Amino acid sequence: MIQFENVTATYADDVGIFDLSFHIEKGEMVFLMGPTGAGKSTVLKTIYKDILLNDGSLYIDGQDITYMRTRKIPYYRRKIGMIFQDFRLIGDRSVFENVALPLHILGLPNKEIKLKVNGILEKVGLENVKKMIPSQLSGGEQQRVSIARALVKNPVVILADEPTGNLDPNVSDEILDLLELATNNGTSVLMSTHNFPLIRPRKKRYIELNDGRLVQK
Amino acid sequence: MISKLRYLLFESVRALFRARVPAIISSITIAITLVVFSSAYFFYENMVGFTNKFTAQFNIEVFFDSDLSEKISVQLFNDILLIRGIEQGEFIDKEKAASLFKRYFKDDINNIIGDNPLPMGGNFDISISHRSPRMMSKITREIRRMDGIDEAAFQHDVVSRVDRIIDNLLGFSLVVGIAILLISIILVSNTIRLIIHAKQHSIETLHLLGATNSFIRFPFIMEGIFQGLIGSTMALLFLSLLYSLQAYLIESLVRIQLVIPDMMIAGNLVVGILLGLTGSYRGISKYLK
Repeated sequence: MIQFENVTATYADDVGIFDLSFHIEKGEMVFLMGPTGAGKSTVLKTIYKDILLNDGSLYIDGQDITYMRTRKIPYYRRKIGMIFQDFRLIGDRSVFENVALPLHILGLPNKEIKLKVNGILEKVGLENVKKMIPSQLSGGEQQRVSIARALVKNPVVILADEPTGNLDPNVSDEILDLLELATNNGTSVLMSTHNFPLIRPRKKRYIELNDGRLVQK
Repeated sequence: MISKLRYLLFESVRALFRARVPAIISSITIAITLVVFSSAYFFYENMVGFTNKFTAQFNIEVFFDSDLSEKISVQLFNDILLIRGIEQGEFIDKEKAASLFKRYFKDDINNIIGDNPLPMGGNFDISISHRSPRMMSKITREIRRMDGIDEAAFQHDVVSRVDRIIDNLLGFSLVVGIAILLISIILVSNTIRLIIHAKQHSIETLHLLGATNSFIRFPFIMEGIFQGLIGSTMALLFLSLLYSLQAYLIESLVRIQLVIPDMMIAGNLVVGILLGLTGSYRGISKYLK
């Protein structure tokens, strides 16, 4: 599902990721480990095309995305679900509207959107707060909204950038449960974290980075 | 596609209500701009109207050779009317010339010299486009070249002086008008840009969710158009109040009938919408890759 072949992607100040090769199977959940500045976010950015590759090849769902025209990037991103540490919810819209947003971008009819959003909110346990705005929710709830927003469009890949970074251990565990649930539908999940004690009990594969280079996969 | 468009239109209207304060600030900025610009335009148009009325008094006086018969004089008068720049004319026969003489000198020419030696001629009004010393000199020269013309003249000094004053006034108004328009565009687009800047986080999120630039831009553009419409409505209401006030003050004091330019309402709406639209477009473009 995700295939990195000798990928190098650097920023102007010459930091980034170097000669990275790994792959993630369909429906697999993999953790991206490493200290701050190891290049975890850069790996995710190369997948959602926020940074260009200097070298190597990258395949997602069988599609070569090494080079992609700028105008095609939005359409490509619709196949990917993204979850961030700061949730990135739109503050003046309700939970329902936030989760519905990717479906409006896809141009789905209202009836279908309502059905899908209600379904996913029930799955993540947020059906009772769907009319609230993000600031009325706890951090854990906000992250669940963010997960619902990523899951609602049935993405082929979910990229989660430190999704538990701002949450307490119990809530973090719930978030991981939800992400694991997504893999049942064949969605691959790549989650970056530096919290090893959190992921250890899960017995999942992890890729370890340091200074932008692969330490262990 | 239709459901996407419906969603975007709905979002544009909702955005106005969601961000009421910024929308009101934008609309007020547009309204102030339009009031200032419309007032400048109102006075410019009235000044042009006033100068046109004043310069309508510019005319060319023509005297025919004294030995011409009335029939040939009328023919000559008609030929002059055909010259480009002549708007209309008044034929002056011997009797009319004598009555004009009497009006100026308070005496009858027939009583003074026992005869009427005054030549026939005409007074010719000039069309608006030709009311300048240069154009009037050209017409005068053309008349002088015609057979049967004794003299053709106009008040060159007065016309030159008035023309210079009008030119300076209109030029000054034009420069002020353009300056106001440029300042307005900058002011409105900066206000809208500041408002959009506050939504930068949402724009980035939309990008990450796979929204195209046009999907992101559309509600902002529509919002700008709505703000322009609201702003121009506010401006029109204020201007109508201002007009009633000036009608009461200026017209009753100086007895000058000021007119509202025909384009005032349509112009305000169009300029308001354009200001909102360009402001939003410029503002949002900064945040679209």
